[in-house]
Amino acid sequence: MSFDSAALRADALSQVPRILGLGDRDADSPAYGCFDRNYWQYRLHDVANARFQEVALLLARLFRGQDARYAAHPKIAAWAGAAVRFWLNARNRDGSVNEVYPHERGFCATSFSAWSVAEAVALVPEACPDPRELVRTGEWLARHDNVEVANQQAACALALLNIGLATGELRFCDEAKRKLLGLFNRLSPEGLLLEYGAPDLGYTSITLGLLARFNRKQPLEDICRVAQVNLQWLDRLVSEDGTFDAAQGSRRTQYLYLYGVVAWKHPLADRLQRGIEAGRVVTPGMLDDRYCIQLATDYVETADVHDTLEAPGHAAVPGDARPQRLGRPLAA
Amino acid sequence: MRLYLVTLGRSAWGARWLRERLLGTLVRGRRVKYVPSSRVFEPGELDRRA
Repeated sequence: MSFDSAALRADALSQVPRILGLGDRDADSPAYGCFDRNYWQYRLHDVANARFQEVALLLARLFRGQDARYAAHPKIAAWAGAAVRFWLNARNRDGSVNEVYPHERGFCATSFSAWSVAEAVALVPEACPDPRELVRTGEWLARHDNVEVANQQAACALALLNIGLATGELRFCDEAKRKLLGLFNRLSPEGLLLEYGAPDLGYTSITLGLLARFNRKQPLEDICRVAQVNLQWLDRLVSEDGTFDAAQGSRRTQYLYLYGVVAWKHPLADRLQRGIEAGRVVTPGMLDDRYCIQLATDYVETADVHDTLEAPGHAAVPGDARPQRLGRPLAA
Repeated sequence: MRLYLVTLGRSAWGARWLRERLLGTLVRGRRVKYVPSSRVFEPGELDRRA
């Protein structure tokens, strides 16, 4: 694989000033740490969209990364902590979060933002000195499912795993495996991940990334099996220049996430990078504020995982190291 | 209730009342007030010598 992680990282880093500008960085402001600019700055929305707080993970990666502008910078750590704190305080009493209106309790928003926040806390522990604050979100996620939408269910599983690891409560890790079991029981007959009844290229790439991250923390045979089938499906539909027909997917998603493709060392990564270099693939800078954060984070994490896998002495593809079978409880 | 709020929100007065008074007070615990524009990120904010 001739994948150039530095180029991918540079593409994501080009968006960081824009993303930092979305945040309320005034420590004396009541909305300190809020990255929904339409809420804290323009006052266009009365509810802060919790998904903007996923920026905490990007900031935590920058803080732990190599780029001299952001690495180990105390302000980056402080803003990551502020983003986590705003998210913690903006939650409903039951631990769920809102995107659009009060008491919405969105499964998607809760799953994705909880995963990002818990991952950020793992990278920058001072962002949340007491990880037990995450427990009520873990309990809410454990009680809810959305198996119709594979990417959301996978995000829920990863959020629960992260919360379990952060709090030391294995019940959340077992719930995470149960969520994956629910997801894998709803695959197409060919083994494809489904979004509202049919596969979708962009969302499959998101789900593959979530599964790869899960597998790096908790290797499972079932994940590797599902990933290979879906990677082959993507491989067939993406052309040599990295472009694809979005209309072939159930949700017509126009972008692809790279983490899963790179983490499983699939040659599709090279084609996608050629598309990025040629300006034919949708990159973070082409997305709106809401989605730019997540794709930029994916690019940074993809570059990091590529460098880790290519480092001398690192032989294992995630999940190759004695994977367990799904269904065996971790707490047993 | 939701239909009522949406209808109310579509009128100019209702939208302002909802935003500035009801939700501004209930959700944020304070009324909407003017804040200066900009506050974009400036590279100097991360100047390590500062």
